[in-house]
Amino acid sequence: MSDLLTVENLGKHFIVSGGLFGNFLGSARRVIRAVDGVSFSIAHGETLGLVGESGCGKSTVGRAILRLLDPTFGKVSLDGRDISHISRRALRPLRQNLQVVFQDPFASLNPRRTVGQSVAEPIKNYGLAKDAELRKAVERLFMRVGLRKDQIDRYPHEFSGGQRQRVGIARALGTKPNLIVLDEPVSALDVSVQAQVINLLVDLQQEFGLAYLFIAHDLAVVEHISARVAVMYLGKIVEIADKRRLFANPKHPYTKALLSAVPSPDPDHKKNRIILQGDMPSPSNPPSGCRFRTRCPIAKPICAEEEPELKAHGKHQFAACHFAAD
Amino acid sequence: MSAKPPLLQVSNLGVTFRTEHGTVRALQDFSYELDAGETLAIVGESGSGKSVGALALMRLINDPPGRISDGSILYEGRDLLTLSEAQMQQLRGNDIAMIFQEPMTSLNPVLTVAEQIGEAVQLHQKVDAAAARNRALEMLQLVQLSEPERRLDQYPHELSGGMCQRVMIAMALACTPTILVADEPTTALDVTIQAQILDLIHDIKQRLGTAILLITHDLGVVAELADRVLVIYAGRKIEEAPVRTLLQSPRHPYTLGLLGAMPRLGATKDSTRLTEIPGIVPSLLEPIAGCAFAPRCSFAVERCRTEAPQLRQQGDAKHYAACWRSDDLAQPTT
Repeated sequence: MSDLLTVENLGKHFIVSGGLFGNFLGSARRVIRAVDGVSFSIAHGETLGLVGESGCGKSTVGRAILRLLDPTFGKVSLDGRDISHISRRALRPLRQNLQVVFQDPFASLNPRRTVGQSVAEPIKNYGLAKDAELRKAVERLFMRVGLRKDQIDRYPHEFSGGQRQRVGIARALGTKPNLIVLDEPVSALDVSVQAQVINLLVDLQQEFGLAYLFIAHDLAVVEHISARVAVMYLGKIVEIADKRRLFANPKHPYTKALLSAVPSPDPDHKKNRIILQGDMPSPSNPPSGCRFRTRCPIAKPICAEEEPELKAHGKHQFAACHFAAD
Repeated sequence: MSAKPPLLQVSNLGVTFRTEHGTVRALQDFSYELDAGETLAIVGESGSGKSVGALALMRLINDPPGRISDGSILYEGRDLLTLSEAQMQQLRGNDIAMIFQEPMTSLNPVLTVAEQIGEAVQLHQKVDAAAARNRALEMLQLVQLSEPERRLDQYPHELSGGMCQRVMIAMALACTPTILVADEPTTALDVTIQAQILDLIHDIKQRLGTAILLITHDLGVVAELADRVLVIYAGRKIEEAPVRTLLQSPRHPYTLGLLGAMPRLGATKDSTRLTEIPGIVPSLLEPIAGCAFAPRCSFAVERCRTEAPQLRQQGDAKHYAACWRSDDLAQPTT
C-alpha cells in the first residue's frame, strides 16, 4: 500500500520579537522551535495518532500539513505531490482531498450561518453539486453523521457540543477527502458524547476508506482509534510505532512516563507510576542533545552532548533514545 | 465509630437558578455525608450540578440568580445555611477551603505568591506579616514547589500551570482546614503534571488527614483518590458506593454507561466499540417525569418513564442506587 501522506523533516519556527519595550531595550528576538524536524507517513485508510502534552507542537504539525501555517523547512506530500512548496492557488484543488476537524466546533462554525450553509460551502466551492442536488448532498451528510434533516436550517448555538462536532465532521466529509486532520476532535466533549463521536469516526473511516491524522492528548482515546502512534516532545517525535507495540512495550522513557501517568478507573490496576520532575522546557531554548534529558529518569552525560536519532527497535517501532534498547 | 456524627452532613439540598427561560433546578434533594479524613468524589458530566453542590457548600452561589431553596448543611453540628455572611467568612478558608480547576486564572495576578498565601493566613490568624511569610514558605515546602524561597516573590504569570496549582493547594491548606473542596483539580493540567498533583494530594491526605470533597468527571482520577463515590445526573444523586464497589459493580445504568464509554489504556481488542450513551442530558427547566435518565437508558421500562425511582440500598451496605432495575444490573456483565 502506498503512502497517502508523507511528511519529511518538517519544521515550523516562530519568531517572537522582544515586544515594544524589548525592542527599545535591545533584547534579542527569540525563535520558538515549535516543530523541529518531524517525519512520518500515513497510508491510505490508516489512522496515525499524534500525542503529546501542551506545547509539544502536535497541533502545529497538523496546521503545517494543512498549510494553515507555512512550514519553515521540510516537505509534505499528498499522494506523491509536494503540497508544502506550491502556491496557494495550486494548492486549492488538492485541498479537496485534505480536510480538517477542530477541537472546538463552536469556534469553527460561523455563528451567523445555518449549519447547513456551513456544510454546503466546501461542496459548492469545489463545484461538486449545486441547487437541489447540493441540498440533497447536505441532507445525506447530515443523516450519515447522525443529525436530522430538519436541523439543516438551524444555527450553531442551537446545537449541543456533540452535535456541533457532528456538523464539523459532515462539513469535512463533503468534498470526499482521502485524509482528515482531526485536531483534538473529542477533547471538549463529555465522556458519554465522546464515545458517540469516536464510534462515528471509526464507522466513517471504514465506510469511506478515510485516513486520519488524529491529534490528541488523551492516550486512551488515541490507543482506541489509531493503528500507529507517534509521541511528540518539545517539537520532535521521540517514538513512533504500531499501536500495540507502543502501548504494550514502549521504548522511550518519555512514552513510558506518559503511559504510566494516565489514571486508570480499574481499582486493581497496578500503579508503577513514573513521576517526571518539573515542566517541559521552553521550545525557544531547548536543552542540548536529547530534549527530554532534563526530566529523564535515566539520562546520562552522553544525552547532553549528542542528540539521539530515531532508531528501529524491532519491526515498526522507532525510538529516539540512546538507551532505548535497555 | 457509628456513634460519632459525620464531619459534614448535607441533607435534601436544593439549588435553583433563575434564567430568562425559567427556573433551572440545578440540584434536587441532594444528600451526602463526609467523615473526617475521608475522600468523597462527586462524579458527573457538564451541567450535572456537581460544581453547584460544591459552591453551595461554601455558600458561594450568587443570589440572585441562584438560590439555595431547600435543605441543610451541618458542619460540626452547625447548619451553614443559617450562618451570617460574617460567620461564613470566618469558616471559609479556615475550616473549609477550596481549590479550582483553572489554577492560572484563580490566582490574583497582581499579588506575589507570598502575598496570596499570607493574605489567607492573616485573615484567619492573628499573626504579623513576617509570620505570614514564614507560613507561606512552609506551605510551599509542603506542596513540594521547586525553589520555594525564590517562588515567594514571584507572580502567577511567572509560574507554569502545575506550579500555580501547587500554590493554590498551598494557599488552601495554609489555615489547616478540615475539609478541602477540590473542583476538577487536575482537569486543566497535562497528564504528567496531573500525575504530580495527584501524588501531592495523596500525600497531603496521608500527612494532614484532611477530608477531601473531590468534584470530577474523570473516573480514573476517582479511582486514584476517592474512598467513596457519588454519581450525579441531571441534578440528582443516582448512585453512591465505596470506590471499588462502584467501579466494579455499578448498579445504575448511567454509571455502567460512563464506565463503558471511557476508552481504557491497554484494553485494546480489535474492533471493540465504545458503549455509547445515546442522546444528551435533559433540560432542567422542566420538571422531569419518572427517571431523568430513562430517555437514554437501554434498560428503561414503562415504569421508569412515569415514576421516579428513589435511592435504595443495594447488596453492599453502603451502596445505594436510584434505579428500578438495579437488581438486573447485579449480574456481572462480563
